[in-house]
Parts: sequence; C-alpha cells; structure tokens
Amino acid sequence: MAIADTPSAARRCSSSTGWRPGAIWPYLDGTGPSQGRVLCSRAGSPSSSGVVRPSPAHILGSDRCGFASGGVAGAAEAQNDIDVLNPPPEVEKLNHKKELLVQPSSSMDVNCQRSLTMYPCVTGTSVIAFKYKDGVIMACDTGASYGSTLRYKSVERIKAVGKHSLIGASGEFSDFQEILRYLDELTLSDHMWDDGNSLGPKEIHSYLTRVMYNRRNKFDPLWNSLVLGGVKKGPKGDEKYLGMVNMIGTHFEENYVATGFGNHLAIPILRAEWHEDITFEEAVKLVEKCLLVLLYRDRSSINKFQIAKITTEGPTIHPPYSLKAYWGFSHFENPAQGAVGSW
Amino acid sequence: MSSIGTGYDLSVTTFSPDGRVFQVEYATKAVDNSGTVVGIKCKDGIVLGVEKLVTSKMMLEGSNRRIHSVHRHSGLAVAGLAADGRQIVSRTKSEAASYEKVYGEAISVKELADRVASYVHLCTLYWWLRPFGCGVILGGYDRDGPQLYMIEPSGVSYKYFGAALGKGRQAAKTEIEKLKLSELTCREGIVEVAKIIYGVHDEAKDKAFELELSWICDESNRQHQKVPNELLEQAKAAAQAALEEMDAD
Repeated sequence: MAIADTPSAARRCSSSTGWRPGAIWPYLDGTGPSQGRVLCSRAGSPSSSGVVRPSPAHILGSDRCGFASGGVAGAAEAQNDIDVLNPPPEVEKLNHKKELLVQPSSSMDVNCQRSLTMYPCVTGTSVIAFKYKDGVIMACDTGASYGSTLRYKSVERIKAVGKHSLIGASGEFSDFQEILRYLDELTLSDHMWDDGNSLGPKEIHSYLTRVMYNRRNKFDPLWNSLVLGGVKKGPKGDEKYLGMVNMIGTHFEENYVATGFGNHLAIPILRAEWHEDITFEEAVKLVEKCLLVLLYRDRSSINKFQIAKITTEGPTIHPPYSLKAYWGFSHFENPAQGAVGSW
Repeated sequence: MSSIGTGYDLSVTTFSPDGRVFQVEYATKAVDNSGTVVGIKCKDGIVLGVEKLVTSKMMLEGSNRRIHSVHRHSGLAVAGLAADGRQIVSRTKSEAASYEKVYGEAISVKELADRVASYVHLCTLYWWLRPFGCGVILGGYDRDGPQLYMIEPSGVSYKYFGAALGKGRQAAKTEIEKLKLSELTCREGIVEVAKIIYGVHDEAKDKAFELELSWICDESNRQHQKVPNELLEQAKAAAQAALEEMDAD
C-alpha cells in the first residue's frame, strides 16, 4: 500500500486511484491552510495517522511537521526536494497548462485580460448624409436595437464636433460614445490653446480613420460606420466636406454617403436625385424620401427621425419628429386572402 | 526686509533656526517682481486680469499669454517666471483631463486647486528640485458657483473673494477691498479690474504694458474665455479716463 506522503507521490498514486479532495499542499515555507489539523486521508492510506503533512523539513527544520510520525517523516523528507524553479519533466507534464491561442506579445497582455470585440450588442441602423447648397445635411432615426429587439427609442446618433462638423454613427452605440469621448478630448485641447485655430471636418475625418484602422489592426475594432460632415473656411472659400469611415478603416469622401441599409436603399435614390447646390427645402424632401424607404424596408428602423445640418453658422440638430407612413397596402388588409388551404 | 539666511538658505530642504525655509521665500520674491495679476469673484462669475509688461517693441501683440484656460470652466493667471508658469499650466491641464477620463465629469475647482497646490508643494520637498518661481490665481465656475483660488510658491492655496500678485499687489488689494464684490456683475467687474491694473502700473519704472482680461460667467456660458474685444476696448477706455481724472486732481 503506497503511502502518498509527498505531492509528487500522491499524483502518481492519483492517476490510478483518482484524485481525492482534501489534499491541500503546504506552501514551501511550511505555512498553508489547515496546518496542524486533521484532514481527510489521501488515496491509498485511509488508516494512516490522519494526514501526513510533509513539511519541507530540509528547509525549515523538522519542528514544523506537527503530527507526522517519525518513520513517515523520514521517508517524506527524502522525496520532498522538488525543485520548484526547475521541476523534473515528469512532474511538469502532470501539471495543467493553460493553452493560449494567441501568444501574448508583451507583459502587459499577460497581466491585463484583453477581450477582443466579437460582436456588437446595442446597435444603431442607417445614417444618410449629403452636401447641399449651404453645407451638409445628415439624418438618421433615433432607435438602438439590442439584437432584434428595438430597445432604445430616443437615442441621438448624430452629434456636433467643435464648430465645424457633425458626426453620425451606426453600429455599436457604446463604441460611438467612446469615439465621442476621444473627440471631446481633441476639441478641449483646441479650446484651451485659444489661438483662433479649430479642427475642421477633414482633420477630424483623418483622425477617426487612424483610430479605426489602428483598432482593426489589433483585432479589437470600434464596431461603427461613421459619417463625418462639415463646412470650414479654406483657401478656396467655404469648403464643404463629407466623408465616411467604417470599422475596418475603409474611408472615402463623397457628395452623398449612407451607412448600413442606407447603402442599399438610400444611395440609389440619392444617385438619381442629388444634384449640386440642392436647396435646403429640396434636401429635406430628399432626405425624408430616403428615410421613409428605410422605415418601410429596414426592420431595425423606427418612425422617429432627427435631421441635422451644418453650415458656416455652425451645427444645428433639429428635435426628433415622425414621418407619415402609409401602411394601407392592399395585401396587408387581408393577408390570408389568396392563401391556399387557409381556414 | 527679511533677514539674510546665511548658511540656511542654500537648499530647500534646510530649515533656518527660526523655522523658515528661505528658498521658498526667495521664490516668492521672484513672484513679487513680476507684473501685477488680479482676480476677483463677482456675483455671477470670475474676472482675471494681468498687467503684461512688454519688454520689447518687437513683440507681437497678443503673444506671450499670461492667462491660460486649463479646462472648459477654469482659467489660470500666472505671475512670476513665465517658464515655470507654463509647467504649472501644463500640469493643471493634464490633471483636469485625467480626472474627467476617470470620473466622467468635469473636475471641481476646489479639487483642481488642491492638485495644483500639491504639485507646487512637491517641488519644495526635494533638494534636487527647486521651488516654482511663480504664483497662480485659479478661477473657475462649477456646480458650487464661481470660485477663486490663489496658489503661492510655497504650495499654500486659499480661496479668495479677490486676490493680487506681483509688483502692485498691495495697492491692488486695497482697491479690491473698496469694491462691493457681492453686487458686482462680471461686466462691471471687467471695468473695475482694468481700472485697478491701470492704476497700479508704474509709469516711471516700466514703460509699456498690455492688459489681458479673461472671464468665466453666465454670459460666457460658464466657459473660460478672453473677454470679447468690444468689452475689452470699453474697459480700457474707462480705465484710461479714470486715470486721467486722478492725474488731473
């Protein structure tokens, strides 16, 4: 009957008889939980004198070992010289090893648990924007979905940035809030310099592109599609600017942009009907046309929209309002009419 | 005149037998030699004013700012060695930014003053650092209303109704005490501060100076900003007029 009196010996035993709970290994200096108390017995030695606590007698002297009988203690000492720093391979193999799929590249990674964005949680749907005569107009609905549930119905997804720009976002709303925080830091340091300079839309678009692309390269993207529009005085007078960045860092500048479903439903309308120097009234009509299509066809949009515009006078975000939607489609009235076998 | 601390004034980590740290007192002298800085707390905000002595005719107007924004809601006016002042301003800005990053809201003026004071005091504790040769007046407007703090090179920070640093501080303090600050609005306060600074400016010793004024009040949306140009000109004109009146007597 093998007496499991050292950790390594016990492990060898346990591979055949199964690990028994209660075996608490002492720390190297002899301290440890339940020192000096009788615990349940180890595998293969139910009749031994309580628990044999093999203390590292060779380090601290045998007075630490409280209740081990002389003979057993003698045997324990011999097998107790486990070199913890350079353990023998058989001991190492028996230890459980944590397997890492991605090897940490710096000590920082080992210390702080970094989680990589896998999926968005609370998301906003399309944003549409285009240049008009006096500046840029941007619009979106005020809903945020939690999966397929339309959880939040009064969310402002367009915000002003400084005096010259508007930012609209679709995708993960918490990432949008973080981006707003970064932009707030930027504009604050502008404000404190107080030298007459301020960041224009082109600069902010460039900054956001860098942020999004760098995050993507760390496999931890900010899960958004951002629309950046604004007007700022340049060498050729007041220059309108409209651009888009998405979560993988793709960015471009255009006269009209849309995110998400807007790409498929609104852009074709804008391609057909947008023209240079469209007036504000015409622009609003065009925006409403696009928003209505999105309302009908995008299941994650709601009938509550915000229109925002940016001109040389500054940004204006209008309060939310609803569009008149027509649900009197004949087939909706009696949907089962033509169905075969309906009762 | 203070006594010469022979032997006890070589290091900031040495006390004199009568319990003074001479290096810190010498640092205060550097502040006393600079242009006057005035700050007052009016009923709806703070006004900060600086007598910016112009050392060379070649200097561009509006350069070498002495009043800095350290956050949206607070400003710092510096008296003393300008380079030391820049360091304090930079540190204050980063303290305010890091507080906002951690707590999600703007730092309170009291907390900010505490942090500035700790930082200034830090440099009076080690022999390898020298004390800052500048004093600052911190004015801010937060949830508890407008507040004014003054931090000296020794690291002490007190809350004030009105504070002054620099050459003309004694005269300025007397003038401030004459004002009824609890009834003054910031618009009126600007004119008063301009008058004080023009009044304490010593025409004989220092020739040219530029007046820098800033405010944080309800009118400025509780944001720290330079006083708008028309108001600045009005204040300057009123101050000039008052000066001429005094001279005429």
